[in-house]
Amino acid sequence: MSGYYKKWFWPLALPGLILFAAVVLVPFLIGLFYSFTAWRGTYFVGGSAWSSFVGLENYARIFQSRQFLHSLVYTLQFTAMAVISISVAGLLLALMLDYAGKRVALFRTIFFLPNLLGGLALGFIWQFIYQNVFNRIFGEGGLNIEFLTNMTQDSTKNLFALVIMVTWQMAGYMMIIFIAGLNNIPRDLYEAGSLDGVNMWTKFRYITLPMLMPSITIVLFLTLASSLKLLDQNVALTNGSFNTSMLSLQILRTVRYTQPPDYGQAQAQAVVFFILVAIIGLIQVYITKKKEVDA
Amino acid sequence: MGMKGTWRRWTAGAAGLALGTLLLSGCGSQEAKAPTSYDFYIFNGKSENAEAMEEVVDRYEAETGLTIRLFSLGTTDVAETLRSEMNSSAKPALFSTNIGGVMEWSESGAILDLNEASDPELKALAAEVPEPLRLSADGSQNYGIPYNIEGYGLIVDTRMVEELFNLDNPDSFLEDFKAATYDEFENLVNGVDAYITNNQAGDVTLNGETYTFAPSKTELTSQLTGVFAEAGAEKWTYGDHMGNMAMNAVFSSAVDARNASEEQVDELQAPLEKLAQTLDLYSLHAAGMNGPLERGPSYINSSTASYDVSVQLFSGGKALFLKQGNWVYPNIEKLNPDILPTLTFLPIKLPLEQSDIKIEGLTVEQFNQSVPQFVPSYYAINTRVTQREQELAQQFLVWLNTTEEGRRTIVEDFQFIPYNADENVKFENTLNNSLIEYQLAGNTLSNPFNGSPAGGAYWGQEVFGSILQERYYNRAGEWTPEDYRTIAEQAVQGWKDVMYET
Repeated sequence: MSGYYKKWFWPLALPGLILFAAVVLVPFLIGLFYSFTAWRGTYFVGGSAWSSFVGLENYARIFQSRQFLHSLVYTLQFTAMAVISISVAGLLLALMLDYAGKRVALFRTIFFLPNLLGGLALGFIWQFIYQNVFNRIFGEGGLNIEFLTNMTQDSTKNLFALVIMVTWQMAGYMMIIFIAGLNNIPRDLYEAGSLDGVNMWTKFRYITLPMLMPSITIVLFLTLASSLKLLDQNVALTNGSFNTSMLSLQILRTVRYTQPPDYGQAQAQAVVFFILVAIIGLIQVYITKKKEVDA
Repeated sequence: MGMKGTWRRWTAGAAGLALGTLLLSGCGSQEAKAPTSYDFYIFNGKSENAEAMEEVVDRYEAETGLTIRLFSLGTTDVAETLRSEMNSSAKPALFSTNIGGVMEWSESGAILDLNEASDPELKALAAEVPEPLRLSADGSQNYGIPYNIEGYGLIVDTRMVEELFNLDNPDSFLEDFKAATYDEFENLVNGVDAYITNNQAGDVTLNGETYTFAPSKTELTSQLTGVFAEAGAEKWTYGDHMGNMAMNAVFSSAVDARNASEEQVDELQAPLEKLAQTLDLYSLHAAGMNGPLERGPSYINSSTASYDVSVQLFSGGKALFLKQGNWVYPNIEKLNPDILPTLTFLPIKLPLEQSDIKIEGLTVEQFNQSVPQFVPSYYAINTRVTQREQELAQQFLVWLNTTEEGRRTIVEDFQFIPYNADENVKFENTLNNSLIEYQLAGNTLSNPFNGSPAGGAYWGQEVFGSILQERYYNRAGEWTPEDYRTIAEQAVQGWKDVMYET
């Protein structure tokens, strides 16, 4: 077997490597290079790459940009809320399905369904829900909960609107991962617990949670990364109105809001964004990995 | 293993390296290579004439024996698509751009100054484009041939006017409306509103003439729920196009606005205050589906105040005025074709004083009887393709704009108002005809909003439009003169904030 891998490693890996290099690595490096220049999308200011080299100027301007800094904070706030909300909802659904008996497949499908919708479609559906359904249910004459009305017309409310929406979208997917994790926990651990007379909570806290750590690592990583990079839903729901641009949208807008389009600046923002996502992602994986235990 | 493994590793490395160089060299400068599968390539960035362009190009191909590659696209993302085409190895010879894109292409040198066109006929054609309609970076160049003319104002169904005031013929009303002052207009709006809500049939004065409301409502006029069909959810409808009204008091063209000095931007303060006052009037008299639409959260919701909803309100006879451009015609056609024959444009008026207007020779009276007209897109020649492609593209433009067949194509197939229309140009489209009348009478304003920071995309929508939408339209309550001032100050500041950024 190992001989097979030795012999075929390069032929089998090469197509993937070439693709990865062509669509990820090389564009990334080119982009990194652009971020140090006055690149305008189709040309360098001054005619050549070297004449338009601006050093760290693009980076310096990022941190003077109020819009960028606001988007950064907004994105971090959203991510913190969304990660907790999605993982908890996903875990609760998974635990509930443990008791669903025969209908488990049906519920699993239903909960997973929202995940099949594209981000834009989802955003527009929820825009309608927030503007019409929510306003009617929670508005005057209804339940009269002011906070849940006109949720897309306020920066803070919109944060919650986004969290509700992505939770609905992604909790089902995370549930699938948790179900797989739960199924891998040996039943005899619970039996041992029962013999020791421990209650449900203790079983969950000392058996389920530690044994579920590999799933938690994956779930946290997926939710963190997708929350930080959220774009479609943000565009569809508010398109940045009321100071609700997240980082991806902000980067996209940088090109639209400058003439000639300042791709160098946008690229620098993208690099900072990448570093941010990478650092947060790696720290999270490092921490949760450490907590994983063997059965 | 051994030798073989090393060899494979080397090939892999070499392949990766070759790939990398290939991609890297893609962004370096290249000599133009003659295309093999077509003679030249047209990038058409306007969706309105996409289908018609297809047929026209087919006819032109049959006539000349050339093979033309045509790509049509017309969304907000047209700029990105054009950029990637301009970066590719198959570059368009003829592409569309406008004042928003011209900085980019003139700075890169990809756009041909038609003053230096190799085709003498095109050079002559370009020289005849009227000065205010020319595409340039600083006023000295002449980069494009206009696609067409578009314009906007208060669209009105003259039958509604007839029935409101019990007239046999709306012409005198329309003429008096055009000549009326802002105050008279304001009285008209209040009068119509009182008529709608309380059946109060008083009279109004326009240009000194008195018009009395019909004593009782007709089937048509009883449908009215407000004076204006507004689209509060869409910032471009007021940020760009109403913002443009104020800008017309200070800038005579988009190029002027693009090269604005700080003093000029400061001069926008007064016109913007007057504009805010006007928008206050409009938004206080907005029509809704079942009764007036009031300022507040639903005034800016996309389900109650989108562009489509506003067109629907107007087409359904619930509003007297729709402040829109002639591009709305096909949308109205879909909803209520019956009103098409009686549609016309009336001018948008601002309560300006002569001292607010900084353009020489422009009076308040003239301003208030004019509608903005401008060129949304231009045909431009790409200098980065072979000489032959450039020449073929130039010949196509000459054919389209000078031959009888080409000119007929613009009017009949594209349904476009030619930039050089004369009184013989007639459309079935009443809004187009109305614009041509204003054009021939010389009652036109320009499109300086396209020269504001990042065109409308930034200042019009994200600065001016956002101030209105996020702080004024979305809440109930009065706007005070203090509010007008604040709106104007913040809009001016928002422009200055980005003025010296490159």
